[in-house]
Amino acid sequence: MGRRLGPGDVALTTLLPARPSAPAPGAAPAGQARVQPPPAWWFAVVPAVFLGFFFAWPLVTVLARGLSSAGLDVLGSAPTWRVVWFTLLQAVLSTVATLVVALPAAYALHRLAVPGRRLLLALLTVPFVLPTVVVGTAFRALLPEGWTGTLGAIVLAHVFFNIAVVVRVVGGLWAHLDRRYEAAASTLGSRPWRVLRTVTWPLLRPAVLASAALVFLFTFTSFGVVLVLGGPTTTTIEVEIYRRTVQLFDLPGAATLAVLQLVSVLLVLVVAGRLQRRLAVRQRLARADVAPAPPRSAVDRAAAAWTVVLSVLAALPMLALLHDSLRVGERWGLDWWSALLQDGPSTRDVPLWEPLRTSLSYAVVATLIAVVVGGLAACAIAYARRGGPVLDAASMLPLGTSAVTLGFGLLVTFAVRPVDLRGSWIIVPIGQALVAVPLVVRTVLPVLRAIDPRLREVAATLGSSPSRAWRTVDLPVLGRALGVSAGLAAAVSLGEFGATSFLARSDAPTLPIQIGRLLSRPGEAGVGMAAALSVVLVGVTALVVLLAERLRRPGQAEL
Amino acid sequence: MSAGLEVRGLRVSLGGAQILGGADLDVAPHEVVALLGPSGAGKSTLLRAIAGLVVPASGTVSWDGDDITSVAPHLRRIGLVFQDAVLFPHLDVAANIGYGVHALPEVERTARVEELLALVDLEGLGGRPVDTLSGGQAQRVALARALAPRPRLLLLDEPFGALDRELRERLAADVRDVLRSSDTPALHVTHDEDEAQAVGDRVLRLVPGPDGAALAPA
Repeated sequence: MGRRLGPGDVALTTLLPARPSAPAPGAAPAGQARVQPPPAWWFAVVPAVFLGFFFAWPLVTVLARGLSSAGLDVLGSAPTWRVVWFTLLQAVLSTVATLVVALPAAYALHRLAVPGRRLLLALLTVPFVLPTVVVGTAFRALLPEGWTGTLGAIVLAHVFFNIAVVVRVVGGLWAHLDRRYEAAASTLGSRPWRVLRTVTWPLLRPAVLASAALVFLFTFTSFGVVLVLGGPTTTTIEVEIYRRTVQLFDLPGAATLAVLQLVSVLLVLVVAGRLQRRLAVRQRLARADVAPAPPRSAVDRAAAAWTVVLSVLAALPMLALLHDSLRVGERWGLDWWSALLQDGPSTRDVPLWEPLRTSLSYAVVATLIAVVVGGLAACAIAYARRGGPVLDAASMLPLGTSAVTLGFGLLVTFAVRPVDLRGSWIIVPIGQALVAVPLVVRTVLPVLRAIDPRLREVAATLGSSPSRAWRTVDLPVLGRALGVSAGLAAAVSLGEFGATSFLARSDAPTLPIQIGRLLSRPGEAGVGMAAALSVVLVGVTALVVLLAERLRRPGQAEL
Repeated sequence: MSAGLEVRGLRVSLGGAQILGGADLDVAPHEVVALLGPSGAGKSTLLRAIAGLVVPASGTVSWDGDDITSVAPHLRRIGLVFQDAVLFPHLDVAANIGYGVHALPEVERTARVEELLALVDLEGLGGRPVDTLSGGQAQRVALARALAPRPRLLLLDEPFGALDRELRERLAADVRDVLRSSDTPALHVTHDEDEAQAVGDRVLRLVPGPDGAALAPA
């Protein structure tokens, strides 16, 4: 699925629904605090209506279709279970491999004074904001011919894509671990290995688990990468849903698979959430990043060296993409680039600026929708007196639902009267916004929860009405977080492939859709032009993410 | 060559700033030395250097005449009690105290933990999660944890700094008794004059200077 989060996403570790941390604000009976934030339902109305109409209704529609007898036949066939087995296998392998590869880098980049640390961190983060189709394309460009369609290729691409999740989530906690815990252990006579095993690991475990759950979720529902890199026997449930809908017109079968996937993802979310609550350790975190120490031991030096190697490896697929866009037969040239700019003989050969314009205008609309809906939902969750955790979990559901299912659901629900949106462009940004809303909520919520309630009390004692207190205390903080989340939402919209592939009109493809079309075209020209267009998409996405990153307050937590 | 701790010409720089500018210090066996100094004078840095947690720019730390300046902290057998306890949050009280004696057979380890719980007046609290302890209790557990592996020297870094005055005075007397009865030499850092006089056989003062702090008799 085409979700991705921005570098330094404020929310990564909190992607699993959190326990309510702030004391629930009450209606202020005697003895309780009198100054309260505004009532939650003011904020809840718009998100509830939007998510109910464009998320819950389509989802229920898909669910209802899946439970028909024709759809259930799918569950009886062996090929279906081979797909399920492969989906699970590649997700587990990808998750384990990502952890193994990325944990030393998380350590080196957050605990050691490695030269060029910022550059290395940026190099490892870039893959994560890349559109999944581009990642797939880049690995096709990088790997030898015979690798396409193999388990190895898919796992490699998934590792590349998800390194940033582990480095950021685990590293974010690692940087803030109070080093005195480890110091205490070593003054008590523990060798470094025992310190790592008995102190560092238990304190770090919740973050490792959170990142593993995220990587598993992303790879289990992987669409763009597998569509480009997978083969007939190496395919995920998500791609199979797509194939059944678009190629076989087997809607009941697709719906059944969508339900199967949704249930599996919910199961994983619930188990991971439980496990995380059980492992959670109430620890004191250092207030600022603890100053990194120069690598001294052999292990430290090995971790630092590995990080450098990994960063170079992470740059390779991008270089391969650039190479393919400039390589014409046996010579170098700009042929593919100039071909991109021209009107072709068929409708498939739209000139570059048309999908670019389509993508950018969809991104603007999708970002607006996602920021308004997600921002309001975050306020509702933060201010809720009761039911905060339930709202919190509900806002996460779109992240747990596959994008293909979402797109499919929107398609079948709004293809009939009274609301026929099939022919309308607005359905595309709506689908993309649904994918982005959970990320906006996750970005804004921790910031809102961190507001010291006494600030509102101070405002009240200075003569502010409740609404002025909210505008002067909460809103400025909210504004900045919304800016960051807008960049994130725009990046999601620009790269979104799963939902968009159902919803986009054939005469108005977005950049990722056009890349997909070019790739499916036989011959060298298709690959070369797809590579060139991928470079364009990477450039646009990087620009958006960089702009959003500038809004982030320096030193603001990465968690 | 002298018995006990001997620190000579210890210089420590952190982030370009010289914190300690040539500290000299001795702690004899059976002796409790109190170290006074204003906040930010470098008291904690001195203790961290003695424990081996920071690497000094120059100078030596020796024990019984052996230079241990480049010995790793876990091999020094020097205990450290932090200002705010720093109990392992994922372990209960007994597991915290038993952390440094994990190599002992279980029966002996349990006995040692019980013995220390009794020493710091916390019998029966072994199964408690550490986040349910009061500030004074947490500090006692930290003291018990540091004493469990029988360190040859105990460093106390303002162990009662975060507690209120009454509790601080009571604990200071307790610590003195505990150190006596376990016959552990100690270097006890504080910024409180009365506390220093109460716990120390001898009181030293860390004096800030332009080139980092140095030690002088109080």
